[in-house]
Amino acid sequence: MSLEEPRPPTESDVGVTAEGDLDYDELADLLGDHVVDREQHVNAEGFVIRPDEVEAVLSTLRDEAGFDHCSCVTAQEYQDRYESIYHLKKYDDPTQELSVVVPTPRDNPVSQSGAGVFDTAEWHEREAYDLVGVEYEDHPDLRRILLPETWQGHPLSLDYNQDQPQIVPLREHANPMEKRTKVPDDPDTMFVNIGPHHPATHGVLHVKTTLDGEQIADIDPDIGYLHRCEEQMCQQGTYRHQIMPYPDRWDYISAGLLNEWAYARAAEDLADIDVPEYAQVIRTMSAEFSRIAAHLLAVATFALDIYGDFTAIFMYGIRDREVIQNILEDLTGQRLMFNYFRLGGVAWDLPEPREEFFEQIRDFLDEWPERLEEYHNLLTSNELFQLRVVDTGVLPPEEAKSYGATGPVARGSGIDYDLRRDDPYGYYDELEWDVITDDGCDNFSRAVVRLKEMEQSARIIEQCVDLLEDWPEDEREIQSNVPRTLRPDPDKEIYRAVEGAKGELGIYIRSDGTDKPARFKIRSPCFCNLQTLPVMAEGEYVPDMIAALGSLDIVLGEVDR
Amino acid sequence: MLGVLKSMATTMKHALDGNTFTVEYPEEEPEVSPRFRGVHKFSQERCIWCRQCEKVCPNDTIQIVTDDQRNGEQYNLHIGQCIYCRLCEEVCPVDAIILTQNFEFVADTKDEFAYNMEELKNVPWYKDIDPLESREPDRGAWIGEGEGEVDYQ
Repeated sequence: MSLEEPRPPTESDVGVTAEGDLDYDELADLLGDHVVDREQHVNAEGFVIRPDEVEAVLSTLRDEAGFDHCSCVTAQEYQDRYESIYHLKKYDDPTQELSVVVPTPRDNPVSQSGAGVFDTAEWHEREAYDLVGVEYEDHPDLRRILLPETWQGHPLSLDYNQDQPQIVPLREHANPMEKRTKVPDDPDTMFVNIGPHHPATHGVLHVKTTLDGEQIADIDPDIGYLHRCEEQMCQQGTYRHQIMPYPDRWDYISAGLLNEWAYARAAEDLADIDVPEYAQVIRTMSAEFSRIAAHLLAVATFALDIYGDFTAIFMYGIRDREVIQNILEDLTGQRLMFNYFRLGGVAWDLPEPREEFFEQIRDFLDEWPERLEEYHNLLTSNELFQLRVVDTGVLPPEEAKSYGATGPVARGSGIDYDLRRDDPYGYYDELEWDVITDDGCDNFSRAVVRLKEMEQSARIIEQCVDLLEDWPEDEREIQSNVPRTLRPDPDKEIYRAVEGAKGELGIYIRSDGTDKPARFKIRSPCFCNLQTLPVMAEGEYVPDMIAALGSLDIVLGEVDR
Repeated sequence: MLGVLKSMATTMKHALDGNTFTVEYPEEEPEVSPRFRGVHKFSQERCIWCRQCEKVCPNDTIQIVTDDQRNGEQYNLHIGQCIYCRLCEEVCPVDAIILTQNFEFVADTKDEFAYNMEELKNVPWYKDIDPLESREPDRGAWIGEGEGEVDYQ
């Protein structure tokens, strides 16, 4: 295997055994009296702490135990309390996980903010405040993030009345431009709204920009225009069938299968479902097709942002994506909203006649190196492109880690983090492929990482096709035996992530003994990656900010969910 | 400078090679995969009114009305609300509801997309592909079934 061995534990990491596992007792000793109680979650242990000690605990865990990745913050309401869970991981070894559980009383849901330790917690806590209603003390900017400022109530709290009309009084619309255009104390700056209806924002993203001359003095992404209550919809669907169609709609840029895998992985681990090996190979192959298609669109639209040329590179990207979509259509029956994975396997075996299907894939793979070469000719080796993107939108690795950036954004900043290798699932650990990183930290390296990753994905697909071609006919089991109604044991909690097209796509599920999840939280990679935009863009020109936004490759459907 | 020239050569190559990838729809009909999921077709001869499709539907697109003897009276499906996940077909024990490959449908208002049983029965096959035959070859196909006089109950 060409995969790198995980880094041996260093002395700085408290609570790691010689085998590289976590020693929770030692971690609990490290935190001492901060730990009030300990919980068992399926993926990790949860340390229950007091709501006024969040910052102390998180900074101890980060600085002394090496938990440098705050993957997600989940908030939820129980009958007797509110609860925020900080899902901590390590960039070096994401299998070492720890949940920090912060309960707060129902009548006074105030908890200390973790945003002082992990920058990424800022948006996560804003979302928790917005949807669930937990308030975070010392938060730098605690206001609603997904819902409008005028919204009444917190939709995921238990006593929220869904039928209550949301009335916005006229005074809220008195003069919307008055406050916005004025920048206090600085007569030389100018306020510009970029988006929400602009093709360069890749969807309905609104960027509030303050310009100083031509440079960006301050930038604030305003999201929530595409909020579709995806978490709530999943909480209202049954595990077995009804949730699976929706992951396709989070990141709708043909990355559907990767998203489905995130749900499938979390739910399968929650309910102890095995997946036949044959199905895992099919999943791996089809998911990599999804990744190529998603990266192709990312690169194509990035080129569109840079060159402003609709007819050449963008259309070449769309054309190559079309080939992949045809293959996926033959396999899954749909071009974007696949709904192909099932808990315990996949919906269908490969289409008959198999030889024809394999030939179709082989044709694509044969053509692929040449096509990639063309993209390199058009983009990376082109001086015009280099002039535009090299050394713009710089994201230093420390900032990227603090903001919880993952996927090509993190790997473009030299962070060697890929869940397919570091937290293996599916068939990835049996195959030969490399994790691509680039130390450039700029817009250019993020584009290069995507282009090279497509090459690796093609390698994975080729190996999968080899395996599938020789798979014995009587062992082609596509689904394990899963009961028609799944009722995982009550109060099981799990947080599981997969490597989606944009980065770490995590799902938190809490079961309550019924056939529907009690809490379903989506950790969207785009949401976290988008937070890094101010780091990249402040001090740059507006066109470079557009380039940085393009290189982040956000999909607003996944940012807003 | 060399990179720019190489880049221009690439676009020039594509401009001159004369290959087109697109088809002139609607003059030329696109190839649709046998597994493709389009508008539903319903078979009253097959349906046993077990209501599993109604139960599994993720966004309540299907409404079934039965009388107190559990005989079916109505089968309504809003094809404009449907997300085409094919779960109804998947859970149907008798293949009474099937997603054809038909993707071309228009209406003036969204209410016209609320199909009742008769409209669902009259959904045409796309290019005479029987979806069941291509998706589950070991089950009986039902293209052409039910044409002519049938005694329903």
